Amino acid sequence: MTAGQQPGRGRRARLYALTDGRTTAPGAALTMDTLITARVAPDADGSLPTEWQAILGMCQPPNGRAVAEIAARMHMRLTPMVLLLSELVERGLIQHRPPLQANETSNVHLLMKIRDNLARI
Amino acid sequence: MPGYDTSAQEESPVKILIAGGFGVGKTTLVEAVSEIEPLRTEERLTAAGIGVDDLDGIEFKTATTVAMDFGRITLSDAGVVLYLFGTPGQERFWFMWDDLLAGALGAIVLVDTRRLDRSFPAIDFFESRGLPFVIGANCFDGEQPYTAEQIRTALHLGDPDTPVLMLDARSREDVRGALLSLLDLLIAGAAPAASA
Repeated sequence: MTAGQQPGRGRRARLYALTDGRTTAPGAALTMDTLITARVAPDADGSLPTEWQAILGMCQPPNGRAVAEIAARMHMRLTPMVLLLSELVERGLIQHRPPLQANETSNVHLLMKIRDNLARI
Repeated sequence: MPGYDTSAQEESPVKILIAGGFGVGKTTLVEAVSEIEPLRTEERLTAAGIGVDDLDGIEFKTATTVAMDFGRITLSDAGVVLYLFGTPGQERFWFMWDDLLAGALGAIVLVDTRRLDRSFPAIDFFESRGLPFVIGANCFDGEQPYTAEQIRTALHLGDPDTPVLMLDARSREDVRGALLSLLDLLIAGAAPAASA
């Protein structure tokens, strides 16, 4: 996509002003199906914003939750939720697990395991 | 990458897309097999692409908010959490949404044989992107006047071997069957040399 030629391109830069320079944390490419798991208890630090505590509470290990699921439960859209979660990653409050990559999703042994497990649900 | 821990014995996420025209029963299908009540997530898309902008109050002519309903199935023995994402109804925006397809295992295209044309955009999209899919013909009121072969012909499928399944989107067993059919397709595609 030649986004550089789009008329909206120039205005998009204003996001930097809105988020104090933050878009997503470097290296932390969170997608809608990235699994988020808390690294601390929700009440580990009483000074954490209520919103953050709510997020930590819903993804306590071993129950990781997808970014989309956290967004839905927090009534936020995906993009602002990704920004918020990136902040939590940077602060070491959560860890993230990327979705399976192409070399894994084409692995016949994994696919057969998924099939076997699905057949039993 | 901070916070990325590969050592934990946790499931890896993976997704399957559920596509089809408005009102064809995507959310019903998700609900039939999901271990949670279907959830809804929204994203704001613009013609400039997505990923960085959520500019509330700043209107682009081409911006729209798309919604997806989704559910989850934890497959502990396979070490994965399967998310089933119902694709948003505004197909023309799918092309701008790389996240939608990235990493998807495959798709179920749900069709209503009374409105077959509504499933063409999904089929065209997945064929153009090379994402494997199966067709599920939702039998409303338990009835389906057409055979799988007739439906296959009417859909002009690029691959004549694409599975076409009769299903009731409310039936957990039927939906599981469609998912298994998709997995069979993926397994066959992943191991072409092992078929001998």
